Amino acid sequence: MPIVRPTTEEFLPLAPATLHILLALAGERMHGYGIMQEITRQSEGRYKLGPGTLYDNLQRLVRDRLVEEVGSQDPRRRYYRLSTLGRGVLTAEIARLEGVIRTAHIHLRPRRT
Amino acid sequence: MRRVMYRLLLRFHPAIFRNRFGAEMLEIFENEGEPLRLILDALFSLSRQWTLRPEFRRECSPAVASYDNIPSFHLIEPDRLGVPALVEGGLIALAVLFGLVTVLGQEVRHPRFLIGSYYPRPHLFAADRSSLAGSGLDTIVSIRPKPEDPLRRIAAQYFKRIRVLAVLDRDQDLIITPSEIRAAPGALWRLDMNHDRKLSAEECGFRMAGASSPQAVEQAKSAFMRENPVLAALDSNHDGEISAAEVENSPATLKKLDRNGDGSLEAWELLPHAR
Repeated sequence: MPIVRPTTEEFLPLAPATLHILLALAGERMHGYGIMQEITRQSEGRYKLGPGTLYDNLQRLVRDRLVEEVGSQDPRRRYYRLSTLGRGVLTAEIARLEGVIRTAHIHLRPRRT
Repeated sequence: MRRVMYRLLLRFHPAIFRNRFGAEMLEIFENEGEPLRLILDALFSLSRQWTLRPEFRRECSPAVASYDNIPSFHLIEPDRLGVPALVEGGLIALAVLFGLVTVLGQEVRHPRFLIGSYYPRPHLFAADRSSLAGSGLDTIVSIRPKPEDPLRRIAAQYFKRIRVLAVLDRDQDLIITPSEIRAAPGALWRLDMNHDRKLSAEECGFRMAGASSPQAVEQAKSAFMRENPVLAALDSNHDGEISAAEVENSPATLKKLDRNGDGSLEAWELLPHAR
Protein backbone atom coordinates (compact mmCIF):
# COMPACT_ATOMS: atom_id res chain seq x y z
CA MET A 1 0.00 0.00 0.00
CA PRO A 2 1.52 3.34 -0.98
CA ILE A 3 2.27 5.83 1.80
CA VAL A 4 -0.07 8.82 1.59
CA ARG A 5 1.79 11.96 2.63
CA PRO A 6 -0.37 14.70 4.09
CA THR A 7 -0.54 17.97 2.22
CA THR A 8 -0.01 21.30 3.89
CA GLU A 9 -3.61 22.37 3.16
CA GLU A 10 -4.96 19.57 5.32
CA PHE A 11 -3.65 21.34 8.43
CA LEU A 12 -5.10 24.77 7.63
CA PRO A 13 -6.28 26.92 9.18
CA LEU A 14 -4.06 26.63 12.24
CA ALA A 15 -5.29 27.28 15.73
CA PRO A 16 -3.69 30.36 17.36
CA ALA A 17 -1.64 28.24 19.80
CA THR A 18 -0.35 26.02 16.99
CA LEU A 19 0.54 29.02 14.85
CA HIS A 20 2.50 30.62 17.70
CA ILE A 21 4.38 27.40 18.47
CA LEU A 22 5.37 26.90 14.83
CA LEU A 23 6.41 30.52 14.63
CA ALA A 24 8.54 30.19 17.75
CA LEU A 25 10.26 27.11 16.30
CA ALA A 26 10.81 28.75 12.89
CA GLY A 27 14.15 30.18 14.01
CA GLU A 28 15.96 27.48 15.92
CA ARG A 29 15.37 24.35 17.96
CA MET A 30 13.96 24.97 21.43
CA HIS A 31 12.76 23.20 24.54
CA GLY A 32 9.26 23.64 25.93
CA TYR A 33 9.99 26.49 28.30
CA GLY A 34 11.99 28.25 25.58
CA ILE A 35 8.99 28.03 23.23
CA MET A 36 6.77 29.62 25.91
CA GLN A 37 9.21 32.47 26.45
CA GLU A 38 9.66 33.01 22.71
CA ILE A 39 5.88 33.19 22.18
CA THR A 40 5.61 35.78 24.96
CA ARG A 41 8.44 37.76 23.40
CA GLN A 42 7.05 37.60 19.85
CA SER A 43 3.56 38.68 20.98
CA GLU A 44 5.03 41.32 23.28
CA GLY A 45 3.35 39.70 26.28
CA ARG A 46 -0.14 39.70 24.78
CA TYR A 47 -0.26 35.94 24.28
CA LYS A 48 0.85 33.63 27.06
CA LEU A 49 0.74 29.89 26.61
CA GLY A 50 0.37 27.60 29.63
CA PRO A 51 2.50 24.43 29.80
CA GLY A 52 -0.57 22.21 29.59
CA THR A 53 -1.66 23.81 26.32
CA LEU A 54 1.92 23.89 25.00
CA TYR A 55 2.69 20.22 25.56
CA ASP A 56 -0.73 19.10 24.36
CA ASN A 57 -0.03 20.93 21.06
CA LEU A 58 3.54 19.60 20.90
CA GLN A 59 2.23 16.08 21.41
CA ARG A 60 -0.08 16.43 18.40
CA LEU A 61 2.45 18.31 16.26
CA VAL A 62 5.03 15.57 16.79
CA ARG A 63 2.44 12.92 15.94
CA ASP A 64 1.49 14.81 12.74
CA ARG A 65 5.20 15.23 11.91
CA LEU A 66 5.04 19.02 11.78
CA VAL A 67 7.57 19.17 14.60
CA GLU A 68 10.47 16.84 15.28
CA GLU A 69 12.00 15.96 18.59
CA VAL A 70 15.76 16.29 18.52
CA GLY A 71 18.34 14.91 20.87
CA SER A 72 20.18 17.10 23.33
CA GLN A 73 22.85 16.88 25.99
CA ASP A 74 20.38 17.96 28.68
CA PRO A 75 18.48 14.84 29.77
CA ARG A 76 15.90 16.87 31.65
CA ARG A 77 14.61 18.68 28.59
CA ARG A 78 13.35 17.66 25.17
CA TYR A 79 14.18 19.88 22.26
CA TYR A 80 11.98 20.45 19.25
CA ARG A 81 12.46 21.83 15.77
CA LEU A 82 10.26 22.51 12.80
CA SER A 83 10.14 19.71 10.21
CA THR A 84 10.05 20.32 6.49
CA LEU A 85 6.33 19.59 6.52
CA GLY A 86 5.89 21.94 9.44
CA ARG A 87 7.74 24.70 7.70
CA GLY A 88 5.55 24.18 4.63
CA VAL A 89 2.38 24.31 6.73
CA LEU A 90 3.57 27.48 8.47
CA THR A 91 4.39 29.09 5.12
CA ALA A 92 0.98 28.14 3.74
CA GLU A 93 -0.74 29.52 6.86
CA ILE A 94 1.14 32.80 6.57
CA ALA A 95 0.14 33.03 2.91
CA ARG A 96 -3.46 32.33 3.88
CA LEU A 97 -3.34 35.02 6.55
CA GLU A 98 -1.80 37.47 4.06
CA GLY A 99 -4.78 36.78 1.77
CA VAL A 100 -7.12 37.40 4.69
CA ILE A 101 -5.35 40.69 5.40
CA ARG A 102 -5.54 41.76 1.73
CA THR A 103 -9.24 41.00 1.69
CA ALA A 104 -9.68 42.90 4.91
CA HIS A 105 -7.87 45.93 3.48
CA ILE A 106 -10.12 45.89 0.43
CA HIS A 107 -13.29 45.69 2.47
CA LEU A 108 -12.20 48.13 5.10
CA ARG A 109 -10.91 50.74 2.57
CA PRO A 110 -12.64 54.08 3.17
CA ARG A 111 -15.41 54.59 0.58
CA ARG A 112 -15.57 57.72 -1.56
CA THR A 113 -18.84 59.50 -1.23
CA MET B 1 0.51 24.33 48.84
CA ARG B 2 0.06 25.51 45.25
CA ARG B 3 2.99 23.35 44.18
CA VAL B 4 1.41 20.34 45.85
CA MET B 5 -1.85 21.09 44.08
CA TYR B 6 -0.05 21.40 40.75
CA ARG B 7 1.79 18.11 41.31
CA LEU B 8 -1.52 16.46 42.14
CA LEU B 9 -3.07 17.74 38.92
CA LEU B 10 -0.08 16.43 36.98
CA ARG B 11 -0.43 13.08 38.69
CA PHE B 12 -3.98 12.71 37.42
CA HIS B 13 -2.89 13.16 33.82
CA PRO B 14 -2.63 10.03 31.64
CA ALA B 15 0.66 8.26 32.25
CA ILE B 16 1.93 8.66 28.69
CA PHE B 17 1.51 12.44 28.93
CA ARG B 18 2.73 12.67 32.53
CA ASN B 19 5.86 10.63 31.90
CA ARG B 20 6.73 12.59 28.81
CA PHE B 21 6.01 16.16 29.91
CA GLY B 22 5.35 16.10 33.67
CA ALA B 23 8.86 16.95 34.84
CA GLU B 24 9.18 19.86 32.42
CA MET B 25 5.72 21.19 33.32
CA LEU B 26 6.66 21.14 37.00
CA GLU B 27 9.92 22.93 36.25
CA ILE B 28 8.03 25.62 34.32
CA PHE B 29 5.59 25.98 37.21
CA GLU B 30 8.48 26.60 39.59
CA ASN B 31 10.07 29.17 37.28
CA GLU B 32 6.95 31.06 36.28
CA GLY B 33 5.45 33.64 38.59
CA GLU B 34 1.76 33.09 37.96
CA PRO B 35 0.81 29.91 39.83
CA LEU B 36 -2.96 30.43 39.65
CA ARG B 37 -2.88 30.80 35.84
CA LEU B 38 -0.77 27.65 35.54
CA ILE B 39 -3.01 25.68 37.89
CA LEU B 40 -5.99 26.69 35.76
CA ASP B 41 -4.04 25.68 32.67
CA ALA B 42 -3.30 22.27 34.24
CA LEU B 43 -6.99 21.82 35.02
CA PHE B 44 -7.93 22.47 31.39
CA SER B 45 -5.11 20.20 30.27
CA LEU B 46 -6.33 17.43 32.56
CA SER B 47 -9.86 17.51 31.19
CA ARG B 48 -8.56 17.80 27.63
CA GLN B 49 -6.25 14.79 27.94
CA TRP B 50 -8.94 12.51 29.32
CA THR B 51 -11.77 13.64 27.03
CA LEU B 52 -10.27 14.78 23.72
CA ARG B 53 -7.06 12.75 23.42
CA PRO B 54 -8.01 9.08 23.68
CA GLU B 55 -5.75 8.18 20.75
CA PHE B 56 -2.63 8.84 22.81
CA ARG B 57 -3.79 6.58 25.61
CA ARG B 58 -4.55 3.75 23.17
CA GLU B 59 -1.07 3.99 21.75
CA CYS B 60 0.42 3.08 25.08
CA SER B 61 -2.02 0.36 26.11
CA PRO B 62 -0.22 -2.97 26.42
CA ALA B 63 -1.40 -5.96 24.47
CA VAL B 64 -3.72 -8.05 26.55
CA ALA B 65 -3.33 -11.78 26.40
CA SER B 66 -6.64 -13.55 26.13
CA TYR B 67 -7.34 -16.74 28.00
CA ASP B 68 -10.62 -18.54 27.56
CA ASN B 69 -12.85 -18.27 30.60
CA ILE B 70 -9.99 -17.06 32.78
CA PRO B 71 -10.48 -13.59 34.26
CA SER B 72 -7.39 -11.44 33.85
CA PHE B 73 -6.38 -7.98 34.94
CA HIS B 74 -4.02 -5.56 33.27
CA LEU B 75 -2.91 -2.00 33.67
CA ILE B 76 -4.11 0.53 31.12
CA GLU B 77 -1.15 2.67 32.02
CA PRO B 78 2.21 1.61 30.60
CA ASP B 79 4.23 2.10 33.76
CA ARG B 80 4.22 -0.45 36.55
CA LEU B 81 2.92 0.51 39.96
CA GLY B 82 5.70 1.42 42.33
CA VAL B 83 5.80 1.09 46.10
CA PRO B 84 4.83 4.76 46.70
CA ALA B 85 1.77 4.33 44.48
CA LEU B 86 0.78 1.17 46.31
CA VAL B 87 1.24 2.87 49.69
CA GLU B 88 -0.76 5.86 48.49
CA GLY B 89 -3.51 3.57 47.24
CA GLY B 90 -3.54 1.70 50.52
CA LEU B 91 -3.83 4.91 52.52
CA ILE B 92 -6.67 6.16 50.33
CA ALA B 93 -8.47 2.82 50.70
CA LEU B 94 -8.05 2.98 54.48
CA ALA B 95 -9.33 6.55 54.55
CA VAL B 96 -12.39 5.58 52.51
CA LEU B 97 -13.02 2.57 54.74
CA PHE B 98 -12.65 4.69 57.87
CA GLY B 99 -15.06 7.26 56.47
CA LEU B 100 -17.55 4.58 55.56
CA VAL B 101 -17.39 3.02 59.01
CA THR B 102 -17.75 6.44 60.62
CA VAL B 103 -20.80 7.27 58.52
CA LEU B 104 -22.38 3.91 59.27
CA GLY B 105 -21.58 4.37 62.95
CA GLN B 106 -23.64 7.56 63.00
CA GLU B 107 -26.84 5.57 62.57
CA VAL B 108 -28.97 5.53 65.70
CA ARG B 109 -29.70 1.84 65.70
CA HIS B 110 -29.32 -0.95 63.23
CA PRO B 111 -31.75 -3.84 63.17
CA ARG B 112 -30.17 -7.10 64.23
CA PHE B 113 -31.15 -10.24 62.43
CA LEU B 114 -30.73 -13.74 63.71
CA ILE B 115 -31.33 -16.62 61.38
CA GLY B 116 -31.06 -20.07 62.85
CA SER B 117 -32.55 -22.54 65.25
CA TYR B 118 -32.23 -22.94 68.97
CA TYR B 119 -32.06 -26.69 68.61
CA PRO B 120 -30.48 -28.68 65.83
CA ARG B 121 -33.12 -29.83 63.37
CA PRO B 122 -31.33 -31.73 60.61
CA HIS B 123 -34.55 -32.20 58.64
CA LEU B 124 -34.91 -28.39 58.32
CA PHE B 125 -31.47 -27.90 56.82
CA ALA B 126 -31.05 -30.50 54.13
CA ALA B 127 -27.42 -30.82 53.28
CA ASP B 128 -28.00 -31.69 49.65
CA ARG B 129 -29.50 -28.36 48.54
CA SER B 130 -28.68 -24.71 48.97
CA SER B 131 -30.68 -22.75 51.48
CA LEU B 132 -30.87 -19.96 48.90
CA ALA B 133 -32.53 -22.11 46.26
CA GLY B 134 -35.95 -22.30 47.85
CA SER B 135 -36.14 -18.84 49.37
CA GLY B 136 -37.38 -15.75 47.64
CA LEU B 137 -36.50 -12.13 48.28
CA ASP B 138 -39.71 -11.73 50.28
CA THR B 139 -38.79 -14.40 52.83
CA ILE B 140 -39.75 -13.25 56.30
CA VAL B 141 -37.68 -14.41 59.23
CA SER B 142 -39.40 -14.04 62.58
CA ILE B 143 -37.64 -14.34 65.90
CA ARG B 144 -39.41 -15.67 68.97
CA PRO B 145 -38.27 -15.75 72.59
CA LYS B 146 -36.06 -18.64 73.58
CA PRO B 147 -38.39 -21.47 74.64
CA GLU B 148 -38.18 -22.66 78.20
CA ASP B 149 -36.42 -25.96 78.72
CA PRO B 150 -39.14 -28.42 79.89
CA LEU B 151 -36.58 -30.32 81.97
CA ARG B 152 -35.77 -27.11 83.83
CA ARG B 153 -39.42 -26.58 84.78
CA ILE B 154 -39.68 -30.10 86.15
CA ALA B 155 -36.37 -29.73 87.95
CA ALA B 156 -37.53 -26.52 89.64
CA GLN B 157 -40.56 -28.30 91.09
CA TYR B 158 -38.46 -31.31 92.09
CA PHE B 159 -35.87 -29.19 93.89
CA LYS B 160 -38.70 -27.55 95.90
CA ARG B 161 -40.20 -30.87 96.82
CA ILE B 162 -36.97 -32.58 97.89
CA ARG B 163 -35.88 -30.31 100.73
CA VAL B 164 -32.39 -31.80 100.73
CA LEU B 165 -31.90 -30.41 97.22
CA ALA B 166 -33.49 -27.09 98.21
CA VAL B 167 -30.93 -26.51 100.97
CA LEU B 168 -28.00 -27.84 98.98
CA ASP B 169 -28.76 -25.51 96.01
CA ARG B 170 -28.15 -22.26 97.85
CA ASP B 171 -28.30 -20.00 94.77
CA GLN B 172 -31.35 -21.84 93.38
CA ASP B 173 -29.86 -22.25 89.92
CA LEU B 174 -30.81 -25.94 89.87
CA ILE B 175 -27.15 -26.92 89.82
CA ILE B 176 -25.24 -28.23 92.83
CA THR B 177 -21.86 -26.68 92.30
CA PRO B 178 -18.55 -28.00 93.76
CA SER B 179 -18.64 -25.32 96.48
CA GLU B 180 -22.20 -26.26 97.36
CA ILE B 181 -21.13 -29.92 97.50
CA ARG B 182 -18.31 -29.02 99.91
CA ALA B 183 -20.77 -27.09 102.09
CA ALA B 184 -23.31 -29.93 102.07
CA PRO B 185 -22.95 -31.01 105.77
CA GLY B 186 -23.72 -27.52 107.07
CA ALA B 187 -26.65 -27.14 104.70
CA LEU B 188 -28.07 -30.55 105.60
CA TRP B 189 -27.91 -29.91 109.35
CA ARG B 190 -30.32 -27.01 108.82
CA LEU B 191 -32.96 -29.65 108.05
CA ASP B 192 -32.52 -31.31 111.46
CA MET B 193 -35.52 -29.59 113.01
CA ASN B 194 -35.71 -31.84 116.12
CA HIS B 195 -31.95 -31.78 116.66
CA ASP B 196 -31.66 -35.55 116.92
CA ARG B 197 -28.48 -35.52 114.79
CA LYS B 198 -30.11 -37.41 111.96
CA LEU B 199 -32.48 -36.62 109.11
CA SER B 200 -35.76 -38.44 108.84
CA ALA B 201 -37.77 -38.85 105.64
CA GLU B 202 -40.08 -36.00 106.73
CA GLU B 203 -37.10 -33.70 107.32
CA CYS B 204 -35.86 -34.62 103.85
CA GLY B 205 -39.19 -33.55 102.30
CA PHE B 206 -41.51 -36.54 102.58
CA ARG B 207 -45.21 -35.62 102.67
CA MET B 208 -48.19 -37.94 102.50
CA ALA B 209 -51.72 -36.60 102.09
CA GLY B 210 -54.73 -38.36 103.52
CA ALA B 211 -55.03 -40.96 106.23
CA SER B 212 -53.14 -44.20 105.65
CA SER B 213 -52.15 -47.14 107.72
CA PRO B 214 -48.80 -46.94 109.52
CA GLN B 215 -47.55 -49.78 107.37
CA ALA B 216 -48.42 -47.90 104.17
CA VAL B 217 -46.74 -44.78 105.49
CA GLU B 218 -43.56 -46.68 106.26
CA GLN B 219 -43.58 -48.23 102.80
CA ALA B 220 -44.04 -44.81 101.23
CA LYS B 221 -41.18 -43.38 103.29
CA SER B 222 -38.95 -46.24 102.30
CA ALA B 223 -39.83 -45.72 98.64
CA PHE B 224 -39.25 -41.97 99.00
CA MET B 225 -35.76 -42.49 100.38
CA ARG B 226 -34.97 -45.21 97.86
CA GLU B 227 -36.30 -43.77 94.60
CA ASN B 228 -34.93 -40.26 94.78
CA PRO B 229 -31.29 -40.50 93.68
CA VAL B 230 -29.85 -37.87 96.01
CA LEU B 231 -31.59 -39.40 99.08
CA ALA B 232 -30.68 -42.94 98.08
CA ALA B 233 -27.06 -41.86 97.77
CA LEU B 234 -26.96 -39.99 101.09
CA ASP B 235 -28.69 -42.86 102.96
CA SER B 236 -25.86 -45.16 102.14
CA ASN B 237 -26.94 -47.93 104.54
CA HIS B 238 -30.55 -47.70 103.28
CA ASP B 239 -32.11 -47.59 106.74
CA GLY B 240 -34.56 -44.84 105.76
CA GLU B 241 -32.69 -42.09 107.62
CA ILE B 242 -29.59 -39.99 107.02
CA SER B 243 -27.40 -40.45 110.04
CA ALA B 244 -24.82 -37.99 111.42
CA ALA B 245 -22.01 -39.98 109.84
CA GLU B 246 -23.82 -39.99 106.50
CA VAL B 247 -24.34 -36.21 106.74
CA GLU B 248 -20.67 -35.61 107.45
CA ASN B 249 -19.71 -37.91 104.58
CA SER B 250 -22.22 -36.24 102.20
CA PRO B 251 -19.66 -34.44 99.98
CA ALA B 252 -18.00 -37.71 99.01
CA THR B 253 -21.39 -39.36 98.55
CA LEU B 254 -22.73 -36.57 96.35
CA LYS B 255 -19.67 -36.71 94.09
CA LYS B 256 -20.66 -40.26 93.16
CA LEU B 257 -23.77 -38.83 91.45
CA ASP B 258 -21.60 -36.73 89.09
CA ARG B 259 -21.97 -38.94 86.02
CA ASN B 260 -20.21 -36.67 83.52
CA GLY B 261 -17.40 -35.84 85.94
CA ASP B 262 -17.70 -32.06 85.54
CA GLY B 263 -17.72 -31.49 89.32
CA SER B 264 -21.30 -30.22 89.43
CA LEU B 265 -24.62 -32.00 89.83
CA GLU B 266 -27.15 -30.95 87.23
CA ALA B 267 -30.86 -31.69 87.04
CA TRP B 268 -30.50 -34.64 84.68
CA GLU B 269 -28.13 -36.25 87.20
CA LEU B 270 -30.54 -35.77 90.11
CA LEU B 271 -34.00 -36.40 88.69
CA PRO B 272 -35.36 -39.97 89.09
CA HIS B 273 -35.15 -41.91 85.82
CA ALA B 274 -33.59 -38.94 84.02
CA ARG B 275 -30.71 -39.69 81.67
